Amino acid sequence: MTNEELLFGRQLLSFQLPLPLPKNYLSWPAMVIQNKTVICKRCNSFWNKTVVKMPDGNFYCPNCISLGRVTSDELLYHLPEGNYFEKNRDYLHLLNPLTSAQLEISEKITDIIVRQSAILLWAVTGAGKTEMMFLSLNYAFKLGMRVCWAAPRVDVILELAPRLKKAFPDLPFSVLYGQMEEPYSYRQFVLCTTHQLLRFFHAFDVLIIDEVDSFPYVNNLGLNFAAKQAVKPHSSQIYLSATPPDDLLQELPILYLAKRFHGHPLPVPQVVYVGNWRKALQKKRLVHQIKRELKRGLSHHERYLIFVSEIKLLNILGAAFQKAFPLIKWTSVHAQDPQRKQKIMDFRQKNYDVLFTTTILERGVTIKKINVIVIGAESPIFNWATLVQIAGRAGRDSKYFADRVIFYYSFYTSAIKKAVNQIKQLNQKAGFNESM
Amino acid sequence: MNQCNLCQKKIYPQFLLGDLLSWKPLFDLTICHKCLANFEQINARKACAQCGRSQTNNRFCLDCRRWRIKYHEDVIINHSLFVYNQAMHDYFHNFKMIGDYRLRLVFKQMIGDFLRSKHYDSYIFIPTSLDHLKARRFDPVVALYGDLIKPTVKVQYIGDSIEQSQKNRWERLKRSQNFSLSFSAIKKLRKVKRILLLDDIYTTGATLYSLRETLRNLNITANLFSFTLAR
Repeated sequence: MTNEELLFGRQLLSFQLPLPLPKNYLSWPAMVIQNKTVICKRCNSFWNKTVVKMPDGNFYCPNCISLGRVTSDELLYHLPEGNYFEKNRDYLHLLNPLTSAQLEISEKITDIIVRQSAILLWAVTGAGKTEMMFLSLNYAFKLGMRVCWAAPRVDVILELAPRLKKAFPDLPFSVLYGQMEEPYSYRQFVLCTTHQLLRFFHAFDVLIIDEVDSFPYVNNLGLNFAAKQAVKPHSSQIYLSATPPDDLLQELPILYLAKRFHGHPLPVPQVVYVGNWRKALQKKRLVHQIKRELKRGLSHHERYLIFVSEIKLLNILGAAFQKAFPLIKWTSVHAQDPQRKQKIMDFRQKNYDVLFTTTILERGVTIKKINVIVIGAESPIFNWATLVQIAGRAGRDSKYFADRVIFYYSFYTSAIKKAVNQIKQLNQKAGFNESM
Repeated sequence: MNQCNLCQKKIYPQFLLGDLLSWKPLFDLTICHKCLANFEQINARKACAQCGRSQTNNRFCLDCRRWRIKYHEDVIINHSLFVYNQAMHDYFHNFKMIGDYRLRLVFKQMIGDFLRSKHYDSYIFIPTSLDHLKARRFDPVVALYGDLIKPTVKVQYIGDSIEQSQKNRWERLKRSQNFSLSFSAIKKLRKVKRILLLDDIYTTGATLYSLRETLRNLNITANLFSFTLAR
């Protein structure tokens, strides 16, 4: 690895540079100082001078500080990307057979890559987005294009890495995220979090952003700017989402994939009114509607994934459940749980029958044959996109496509309405009747 | 309406009747109550009377008994605002290591309340090594307290530049740190009775006690107190 390779298509600060510095590098000031504001050239954020002034008279950017502090006396160093990769090599090793609908979309995406434009792929949860991309990616690799697959969350990246490794075993690719241990290396394919895009400048011919609608990418001006700056002026951008936000829908041409890979409709959520379920919980009781459903399901050896809005509720709910069903094995996970990974693994291996969780399991999780319940769907944490994603956890297996999804609410919100309507609409688009 | 300096959201203060009737300013909060809940405030009645370590009673802790024997009860009385827990660790990581200078304002109000409540004759900021100052571009102690109070005299640091946090307890206690004072500063300090030393974190007390040693060697006999944000 030469020092030049470490700088191709990147923009780095002086203390991040490989030494000795390669020749012919380009550099520009890291911040632009104006009358009252300073602008960070890395993340394009504006700051009032008085807020970000340091004692030595320089300014810094608090927005992208986690990637190394940008200060106004620094320069950003860059070497233009030259695509020094092996061409015409077939890296694709393993591919599950695609359905005709998937193949059609795949061809269209390949077309987008050739024409170098942008598109939003709106595929329902469990449609097989990732597999669909493999053919198009392989095509891009053959052309010697530099490709980046970015996602806002680390979890998604870590789940994708082994799948991509399996599909492209001989393709060297780098995985970049905040707490990674490996140093950066120059690769044709980069799998990274959207934050890492801030370190790239005109680097990629193809940029895929997975789960565009999820935090922290959505509504984050800095990261949106980073995505624009990381690609070459002539490049293709592919946005993937199951629940695209309205502004993206208006901005970009859309490709629909309304059918799941197994060809069955999305499970439509049942919405059930339960009175004051919180009050019942305080007396360590489950509301009778929930209790009846669980009793029915558990006696048929069905398993449940139960979503709640707050971490606090997990324990209270767990205690009430324990009292009602003392023989059933259950556990709960939340974002700060140190045993989070282990518990989810155990649940997958059927060591537990019921898993209580917060919204951390809302996307990117595939568990076979699972009923999904949301308790307290009226909470503002459950916006329509979250509810659609949660409902999308059910029925992902070709054998068990008719899992139950139930939203329990104590008052009806527009988010619940929109989520249910959205799922019904998607089913209709896929050619299923309302009655199904 | 103020902004929380930690999460950058608007602060909606929760008033008690007493707050509304008092003459205290109502809108000078620098941190929202959600962020503040992550930090553990030290209750003086349930903390070591000497070093301010949070415990179940206010007797001297084991470390402090050792200091008291070593220095014949001529010790530094420390006051700290917060326990050094995970939230505080993250705060200092972002502030000192990553260098987010804005974070100096997070505890400004609470620090100000303490400094206004007590009077000392002289204030000394614990200095950082020049190497750190160069890398960080600011002195964390000056950043925390500099807006609220001016140091009476300046102390210079002439020891090594290995991070305190990189050493273990034994290394910290073994090596005496080196401080130097100007002649006029020594003269000034010999006249006063109560000196407050200001630092960011009190861990073993090694830094503060080595400065104490320097001061006592220079025949400065004033009572020594210290204030740190975290203990």
